[in-house]
Amino acid sequence: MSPLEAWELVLVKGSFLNSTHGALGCTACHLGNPQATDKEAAHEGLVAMPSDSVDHFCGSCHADIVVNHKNSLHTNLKCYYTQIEKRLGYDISGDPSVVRNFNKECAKCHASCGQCHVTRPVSVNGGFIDGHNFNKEPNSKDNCTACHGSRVGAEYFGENEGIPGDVHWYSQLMHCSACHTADAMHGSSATAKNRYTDTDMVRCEDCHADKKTANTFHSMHWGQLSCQVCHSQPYKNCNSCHTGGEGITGSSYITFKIAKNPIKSPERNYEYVPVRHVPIARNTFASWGISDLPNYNAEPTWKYATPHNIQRWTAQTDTTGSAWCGAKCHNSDYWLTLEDLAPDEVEANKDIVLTK
Amino acid sequence: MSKKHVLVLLALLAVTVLILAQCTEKYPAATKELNLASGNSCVNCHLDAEKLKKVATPLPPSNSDAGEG
Repeated sequence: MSPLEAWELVLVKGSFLNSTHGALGCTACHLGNPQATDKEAAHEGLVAMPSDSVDHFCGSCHADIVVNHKNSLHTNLKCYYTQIEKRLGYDISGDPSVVRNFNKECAKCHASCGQCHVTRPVSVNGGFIDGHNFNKEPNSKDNCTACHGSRVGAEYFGENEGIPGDVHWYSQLMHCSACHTADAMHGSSATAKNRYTDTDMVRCEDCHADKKTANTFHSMHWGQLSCQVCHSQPYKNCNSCHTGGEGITGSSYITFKIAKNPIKSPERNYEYVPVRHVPIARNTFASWGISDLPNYNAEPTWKYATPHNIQRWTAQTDTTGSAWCGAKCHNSDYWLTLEDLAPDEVEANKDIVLTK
Repeated sequence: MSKKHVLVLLALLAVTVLILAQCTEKYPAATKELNLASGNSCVNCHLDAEKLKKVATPLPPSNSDAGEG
């Protein structure tokens, strides 16, 4: 994603004026004063991002699409909200200080309709993707991985040094929306508290169910291991993150670890899955006045992961030269063990580590 | 015409009015001709790269590490 100059962010293409949305006229959505002769006066009362009032602007024509937007994790950020509550140990809706800080920092990642269909996300300064023309399908690079880029994007496009990208990309040129459907993105799952509890979240098996008995490994492990245990490659992990504008501290690192499934559910009933260390530390919220998360151990710091760098042949599946077919995986360094944990995170991960 | 027929006709009329009301344009027709003709309209600035360069406010530095996995 190439950076844009300030003027490029708001440069409208002539073709937009001939589009359905362009024909509405600028002030129908953005208000402001079209008769003014200078920038400040023209922008008085301007609504820069109309889709922040989704029901009023987008919903007036697209009611059937926006009806569930409040369920969308991109809108409500419940995924962050839930994790923070778990580690604090209480309902944060009654804590104005935490809510204020959450809205100031975490909520910057909120994505409205426009940030997927018109501009880049605000978290990367926004900017029209196609001169204000509306894209029905979000652009994988300018929209999706503008936010989901440091880990998923780098994996998918093969940007981690020495690690090829995902076969779905470089072989099939499948964009994010090929798997992550509009229904799921628009909030069809009312109960979703994170991406893996979204009932419309795609699973590999949705397309590849016919491979259940395709080979001995599949026959033995299908359903017991998530597909990524065998078919993903090493991925990026981060250990600490700070609020207050400091961002992630410490270096990220590439590794691959298998553990017991921390979030078993009927849809994801695997025994073993890859896990990724998420950017959390006891003092992550120090700038909010929370120097030590009281319920830090409520959740593993190694989280269920679906690395987006799928290959048929990986270090796990290529058994060339191995003494036996399971030699690469069983009792291997891929296993997350107590030795992999920092002393202060043993308790949080004790239920998912493996013992050699 | 019987009372029953009158009632049926009134009902049909009401349904027709309701359908037509729902189909009314929510927004006025395109105003681009007005905008393009006006020397101080939104589009005259936002379609012109040179004008935008003159009035653009510089961007704050971005955090390249920002992002959600």
